[in-house]
Amino acid sequence: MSLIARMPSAVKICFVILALILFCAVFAAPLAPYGPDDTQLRERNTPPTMFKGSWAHIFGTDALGRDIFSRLLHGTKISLSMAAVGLTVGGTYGVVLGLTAGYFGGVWDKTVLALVNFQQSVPYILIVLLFVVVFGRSIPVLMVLVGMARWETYAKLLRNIALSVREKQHVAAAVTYNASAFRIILRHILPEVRSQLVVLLMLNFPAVLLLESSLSFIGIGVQPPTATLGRMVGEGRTALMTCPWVAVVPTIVIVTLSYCIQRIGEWARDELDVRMDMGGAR
Amino acid sequence: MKKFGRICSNRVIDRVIVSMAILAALLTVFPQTVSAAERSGDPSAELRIGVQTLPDTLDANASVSNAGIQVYYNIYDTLITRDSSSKTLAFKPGLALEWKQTGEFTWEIKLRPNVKFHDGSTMTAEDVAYSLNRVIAEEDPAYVTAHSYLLANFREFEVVAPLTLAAHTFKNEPLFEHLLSDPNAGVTSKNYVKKVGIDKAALAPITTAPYKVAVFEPGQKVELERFDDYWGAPAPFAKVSFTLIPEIASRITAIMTGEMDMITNIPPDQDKVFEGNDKITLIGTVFPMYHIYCFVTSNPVTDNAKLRRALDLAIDRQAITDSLWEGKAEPAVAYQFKNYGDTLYFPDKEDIEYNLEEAKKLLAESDYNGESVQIYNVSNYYTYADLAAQAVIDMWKKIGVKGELVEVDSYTAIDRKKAGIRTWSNPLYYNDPMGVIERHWSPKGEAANQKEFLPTEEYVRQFEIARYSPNSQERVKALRWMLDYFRSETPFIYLYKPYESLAVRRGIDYQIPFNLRAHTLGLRSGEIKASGR
Amino acid sequence: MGNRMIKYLLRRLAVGFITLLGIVVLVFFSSRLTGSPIEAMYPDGLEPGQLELFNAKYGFDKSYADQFVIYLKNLLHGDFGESIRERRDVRAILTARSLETLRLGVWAFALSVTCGISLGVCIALNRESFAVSIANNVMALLFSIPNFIIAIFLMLLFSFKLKILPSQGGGSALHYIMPVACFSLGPTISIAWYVKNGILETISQNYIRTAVAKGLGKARTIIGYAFRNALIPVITQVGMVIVDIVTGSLVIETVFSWPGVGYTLVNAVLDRDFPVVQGIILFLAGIVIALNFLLEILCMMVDPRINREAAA
Repeated sequence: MSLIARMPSAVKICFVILALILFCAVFAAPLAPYGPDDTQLRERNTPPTMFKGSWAHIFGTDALGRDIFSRLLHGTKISLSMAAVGLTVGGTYGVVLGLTAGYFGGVWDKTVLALVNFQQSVPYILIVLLFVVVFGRSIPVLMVLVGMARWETYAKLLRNIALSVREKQHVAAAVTYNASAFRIILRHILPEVRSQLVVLLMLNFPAVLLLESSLSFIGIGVQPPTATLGRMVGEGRTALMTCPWVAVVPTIVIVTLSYCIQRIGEWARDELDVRMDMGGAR
Repeated sequence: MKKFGRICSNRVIDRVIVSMAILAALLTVFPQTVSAAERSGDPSAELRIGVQTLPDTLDANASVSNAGIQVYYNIYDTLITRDSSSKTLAFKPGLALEWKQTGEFTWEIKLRPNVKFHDGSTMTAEDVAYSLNRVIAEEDPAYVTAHSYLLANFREFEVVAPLTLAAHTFKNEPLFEHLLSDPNAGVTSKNYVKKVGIDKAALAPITTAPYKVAVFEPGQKVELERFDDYWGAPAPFAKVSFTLIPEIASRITAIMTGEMDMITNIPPDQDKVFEGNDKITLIGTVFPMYHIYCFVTSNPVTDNAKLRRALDLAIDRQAITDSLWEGKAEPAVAYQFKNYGDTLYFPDKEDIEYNLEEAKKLLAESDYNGESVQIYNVSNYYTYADLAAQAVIDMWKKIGVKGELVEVDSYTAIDRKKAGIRTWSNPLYYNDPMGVIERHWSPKGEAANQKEFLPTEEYVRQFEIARYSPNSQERVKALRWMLDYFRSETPFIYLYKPYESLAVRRGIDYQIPFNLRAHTLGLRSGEIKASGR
Repeated sequence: MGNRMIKYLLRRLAVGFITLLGIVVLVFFSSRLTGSPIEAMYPDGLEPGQLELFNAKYGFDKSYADQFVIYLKNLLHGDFGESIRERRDVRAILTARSLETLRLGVWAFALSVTCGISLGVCIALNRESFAVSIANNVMALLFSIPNFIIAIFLMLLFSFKLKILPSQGGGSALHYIMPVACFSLGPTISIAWYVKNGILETISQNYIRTAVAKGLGKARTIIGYAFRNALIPVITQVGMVIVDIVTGSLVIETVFSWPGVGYTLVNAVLDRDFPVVQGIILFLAGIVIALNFLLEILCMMVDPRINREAAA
């Protein structure tokens, strides 16, 4: 109760909006008035209801006469699950590498550091580009690739924390008592970083959404006709002069989503009193 | 120590920032931006063209791409030229003054005297023979394409006298003029290529054309200059630049702001941006080219001719062109082009129709059993191909056929074990039925090679007659037979001829040249003119 | 101490080289997995036998190991190979294209560092003011918009509608405004956040509180003490700005038809033009690694503590 009371109203609003979007995404299929890929060639490029469009398509239609609202619902669902699965994969990977590097040190630590350096010195989108060309553009492939985007932030954070935790007395004691490494990490180190991790995940979220849209712009996003937010923006951009809504509506959703999650993340950071260096996430 | 740190830090940061600023200023050299035309007030001083794609090479023999033909036509001369102002096909002397068939397999070509290359040397039969023989000998792997579709029937070009050539062919060649008037059979300087090598010459070719290449920065721009010693009518512009502007919004903006005088590749849905704009003229064309579906007839699903025919009949081409192409593309009515001329175009073979009843009937007679017909499409290659495929799949639902679109990144990624159909285009290379059939449906062509097209022995026989026979009656008979074969076997589906616009600023008179390949930009004398600003 | 420092730097240098070698290996082999550049060059299909001729010309008929040895040998002689598409030396492509990106990148870099730092300090100083909270929100919003949408929107607004800025090419100072603005937007915001967080963190530390209590002005204290301490993480962040700029160039250069590295690289990957892909990635990674190295030296000069840590 006190947590909600302490929450600034802006953050409350963000939570409500986020919940609403999540609800729409989860119930995309029953909520959508049309199928996401249903083409109605006679109703192409109709403007949204607010701009003299009909009530049949509240956000208008695209070049194939597909209902943007329906595509948006399904697209949000796919984009959100891509981000969720992706962040989990990237997070797990980064956490495991960081933890073990910090805990075991030595050659393994140096190797992980080299990997982190490598990740930082090559623009990640290039790696994605290469891998997409090799492995194709299916959703699972993109989920993993997009999710791995910022693994090095987790690895760095976890490594530093693991290093410092290891020095702490009770852990040092556990080490001397021959407790297994797995047990020590699970019992002593992970609980210390839980809050940081949650915040980092939230702050990395917009980066993942934006990366997906950049890929669509370059032309290597998810297979059409599958709708994702990034793909809708990337495809719609060519019509910005004639039918701006096709690109603008999904952009608004992306912006709203990342803005709300960022705000909540920042709030959570202050609330949990997490100290960390977080720059931008692009 | 701490003090030192502080002083140091401020200074270092200051210095870094100051030196960055200086570096930035040094790097940013601002050349003149005012165009030559604006400076001199002469509208024909410069033509600036914004294009969607640029060729990677300027060796016309090495690339048959759409990006290339925009430029090659203006920087290569051919032995024979096509009259670009005449609605009916007419050939005119180019680098050759006259040509005649002297034997069954021999032609004699007399060259135009005193033709200068851009480097000042004079063109001889040596140059012409070299330019064409290197394609026949496939001196570079890139020449194989031009060899196969233009010069496959030529054995050798032999130098007889300084200005006389003999062309030796394997079989009779009824299409001599068509073949030797394509820019991909352009002529270049032998001495120059021998001196710098094929790869270097491809970056800065020396030819006899009215424009010479001044700057070529692949992936960025091509700049041409008028060649003053040209043998024919001088080029209309002192300077022409092709600038790569890949984004359509950027291209349109560039002509709106006056940064470009002409832009290409405007898809039909952008046409309305120009409505009511009297400073810019939109020139739309329906290209002599069909977007098609090529069946993989060796695939177990699509190996049934009745199914293929049913799929063809179930496509409402008019609905696609009306919606997707805003009514501007031309739905296919025949497996032919009107461009062939009256003798070779057969109006009674305009037999493409939309007929659901017939489609259902044929489908019932076929062995189709609910399998998925996969359409493989190379992403972002053919305009609207992905959208059209989705519409077509929707149409097939009506007769109970399940279609599926598979997007791939390249032609190689097409899995012919799974693909029932692949998207393709059939451009008309020259105004004869063979201008489309030999390149795409030759028994030795790529489609046959990939086991997509499985021609019968009779087809091979009729193809030989249609391609090489000196007797035009025989050719007509064979061509009619082939059209019937295409109809009954349906190895491919013609969808529509795509539509595209280009835009020019007011004060430039331009029209799409006749008799030339799709995407050609005609910038030679008589094809374009600057009348004012 | 000087000796130790040099030793440390030499070790870092060695690590940099090893990283670079790793990148060469990774890019060389992974790019070859993507398929044949020749087949990518002929989207309508090759003629029978043509592929074999091409493979022989470019040595693709050899085993990967042989190809790699040849590539490394040439690399040692400073030869990056020849582009398959453009049939010219990769070095020529690199110089032309990287210069174009550098023209923009240097401005974007200078702008995002200066603006980012001042913005960050400003926000940290006036944390409670209304204007700052608005600025904060605007930044968060701008940061969430895909950069190509911002780029196209700016172009439509300033070139298409208002006709006050040129839309493509790099002829004059005016040509730089929009691309540089798009390039520096993301990095500016991330640096500002970074600086703000750094300052806020140092402010909360005791010695600053003491200084303020002693009667030094708050702003002076922050600029004098907190800023300097916050600077070190910022300098490390600056290395990331370079990566940001390269990443942005993939998208923004296309919109403004700026023939830079990003646009070239995307096309080279899609065309599978291996020598160009290898050359550009090697070059970019080299720059980032070298810059990080220089920044490390800079850090040492700014903060002698790091010096001792490094030597220890």
